[in-house]
Amino acid sequence: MSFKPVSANETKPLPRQQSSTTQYVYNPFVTNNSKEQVDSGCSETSTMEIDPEDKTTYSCEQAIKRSKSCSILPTQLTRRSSTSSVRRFQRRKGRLSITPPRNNPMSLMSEDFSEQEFSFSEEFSMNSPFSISSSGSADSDLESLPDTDESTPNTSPLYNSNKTCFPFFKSNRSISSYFSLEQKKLEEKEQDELRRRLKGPSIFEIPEIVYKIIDFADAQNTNIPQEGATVRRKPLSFKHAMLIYGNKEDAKAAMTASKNVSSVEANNADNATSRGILHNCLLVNKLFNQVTTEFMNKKFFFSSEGNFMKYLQSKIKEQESSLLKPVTKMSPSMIVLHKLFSVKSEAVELLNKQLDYSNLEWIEFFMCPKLLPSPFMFESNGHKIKKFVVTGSKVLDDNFMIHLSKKCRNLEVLDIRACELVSDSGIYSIGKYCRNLKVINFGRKKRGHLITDNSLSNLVKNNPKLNTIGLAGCHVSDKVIWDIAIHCNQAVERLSLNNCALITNQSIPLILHSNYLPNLSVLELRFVEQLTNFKPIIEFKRRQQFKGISILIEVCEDLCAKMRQQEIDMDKVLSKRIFKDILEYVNDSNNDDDVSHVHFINERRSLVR
Amino acid sequence: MRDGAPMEDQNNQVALKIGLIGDSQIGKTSLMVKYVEGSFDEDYIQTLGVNFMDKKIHIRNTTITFSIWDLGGQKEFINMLPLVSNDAVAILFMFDLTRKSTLNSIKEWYRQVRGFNKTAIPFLVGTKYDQFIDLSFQDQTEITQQAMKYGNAMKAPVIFSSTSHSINVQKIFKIVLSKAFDLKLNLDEIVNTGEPILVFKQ
Repeated sequence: MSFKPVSANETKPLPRQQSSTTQYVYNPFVTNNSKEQVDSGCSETSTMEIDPEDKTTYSCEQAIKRSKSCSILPTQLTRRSSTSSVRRFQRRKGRLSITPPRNNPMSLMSEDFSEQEFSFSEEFSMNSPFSISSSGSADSDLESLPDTDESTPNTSPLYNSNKTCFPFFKSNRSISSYFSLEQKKLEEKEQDELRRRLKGPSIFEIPEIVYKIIDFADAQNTNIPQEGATVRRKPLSFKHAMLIYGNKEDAKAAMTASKNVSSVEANNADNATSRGILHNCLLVNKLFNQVTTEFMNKKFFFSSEGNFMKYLQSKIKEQESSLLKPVTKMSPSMIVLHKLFSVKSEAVELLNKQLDYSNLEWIEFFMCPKLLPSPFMFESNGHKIKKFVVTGSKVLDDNFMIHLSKKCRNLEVLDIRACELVSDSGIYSIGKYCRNLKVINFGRKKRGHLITDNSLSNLVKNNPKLNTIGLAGCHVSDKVIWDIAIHCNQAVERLSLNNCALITNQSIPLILHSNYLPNLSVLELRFVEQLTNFKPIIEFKRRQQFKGISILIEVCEDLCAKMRQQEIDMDKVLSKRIFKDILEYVNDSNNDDDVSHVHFINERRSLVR
Repeated sequence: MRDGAPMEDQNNQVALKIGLIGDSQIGKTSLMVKYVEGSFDEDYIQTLGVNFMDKKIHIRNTTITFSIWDLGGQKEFINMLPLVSNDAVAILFMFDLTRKSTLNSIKEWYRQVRGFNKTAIPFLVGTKYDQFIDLSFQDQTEITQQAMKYGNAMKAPVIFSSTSHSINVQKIFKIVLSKAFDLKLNLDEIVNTGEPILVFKQ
């Protein structure tokens, strides 16, 4: 170390200064003498290490190395040494700027390093106030409370290195023994936060975000068992398919495709029973579990009898085992039972004990012939029920409908297809109390005579928002269709009148001709045998297509053939008229502003002359 | 009815797409603007890519909509040719009656268009007839004969027109209609050299 004299010169004033500060400090454990020795020794070592910056770049690594080596010593000392080094840095910086040339062979370079030195001295000086201010009282406490030195282990290695890098950070909390505990707690909190910030993906602990995640997972993966939506009905025969599609391939495809739809539906049902991803979400953490459970509790649905029975049995057992404990009830917003063909109504009675119906909005018993929704489901909260779907029930009757209509006046969707016990009196009551219906479906194969104009006319008048009306197989006459046209006109989008034998040319063709149902896009007219006037229907179809409304008019084979024939005839008439018009235009020499060439040439000749 | 003539029966709508093809600066855009808007502008504005205009003609209960597409004559726009020629009912192959080279290019244009659209009815349209009659009689004869030869080969009606002087502009589109719907046209043909040729009966 040939530079030692130089560095010794530089550091000369420092020990003196340090000793002067320590003079005021009362230290019961360490004598002034020994302290000074240690101090000077430390400063010696530190200068030894720092000095090379005169000839080599003083890198960050070195700084860390140095501070690590220092941290082996008691913290107090390291702090002291770093304070001194800070001062030294500051001093050196100042001096360098004034008198750059030195005897040192490397002195020329030192100028370039001054910038680096500066950045370091700043770094130290930022922290130095701590060390200086606390230096007085800290000395003794550190000795008496060694445990504060090695605080609770921090798992994050990043944080650890931080600690060793700036050891004076520690001294901050050891100002006095009184504050140390509280300070420690505070700092631990800070550390926790710091760690959290360093870790990053703590979004999984923010309820709002988790809620969104589960909501999305739920929307993506929960398949509520539903009736498969077919784009169009299966053709009744191959000939029918040929009429609709016009070529053999498409017709064949249509005949076989409808089979596939049912299998897809079955797959959906299978998926629905295992709510895959949501079950995985349950296992992520406490918050996930909580939120997921909340979501799962909103939806109560079964599409397999086996699972439904298992659920009921497990609930019975649970109840028996915990007779004294109050059972927390699920409060679903929807109850969907899908195709539970043989489940009996006792099961619903059991459900009443398990479920809290106060949030219920949607009741659906799809093709559960023996099940009747419990009146408790809408006893207290009937106004909330928006959707009531009970299809193919052999037990749903007029009394139930009357009760339902009185309780659930805000119904929007009422689908009681193939509930053949329901008759005019039930529907009349619905029509009397419900004013917000948007979707109704009373379609049936048998006992269509039970539903007639008497009830429907009234219902249609009271519910102008109806957009989907299914009256397949009902004994409705032209009067109801006119009621629909007049009262619901703009709202109606889908109208099914399959097998409505009483409908004649006096309703649909006339209504469509006068454009009473401007937004109609699906019209089902299978087996409406009395219909013969298709021209307005075809015209309507074309008008809708021209407006950009995709329209589907579903008819049976017989009607389809008639309609197609009429369409062709119409086209012939139409194209004849068009051709006539164009021919007239083309041959009319008065309708263009072309100049005759004779005129043009004559004009030119006159100009030339 | 021919392919590519989309018929919309709604309110008796008939839509026809027509493509204008030919070398640059022969007056394709001018012809389109003249037919659709009735105006003519002497200044040359180069068509960058494709121009498109709609012309509606109301005849009693029928509305005919001509969609006229015009392709820039520069070679770099050849990749937009499908845009103009696909689904077109008629293609007007146009040339400048005062520049023989533009007539000679028709061969190549025809070949290109046929690659995309084999059903469109071809038309051979000579433009700037008002300048053409200032040429020497010999030149006029040569060009007329050449054009008739091309028209025969393409099985296309031949029409000489002047956009600036409104000669045979409307007639082009009337002939298009008559050809597209196979209607009989009671119009006299003009076949004499020096007159605005109008040949469409074959």
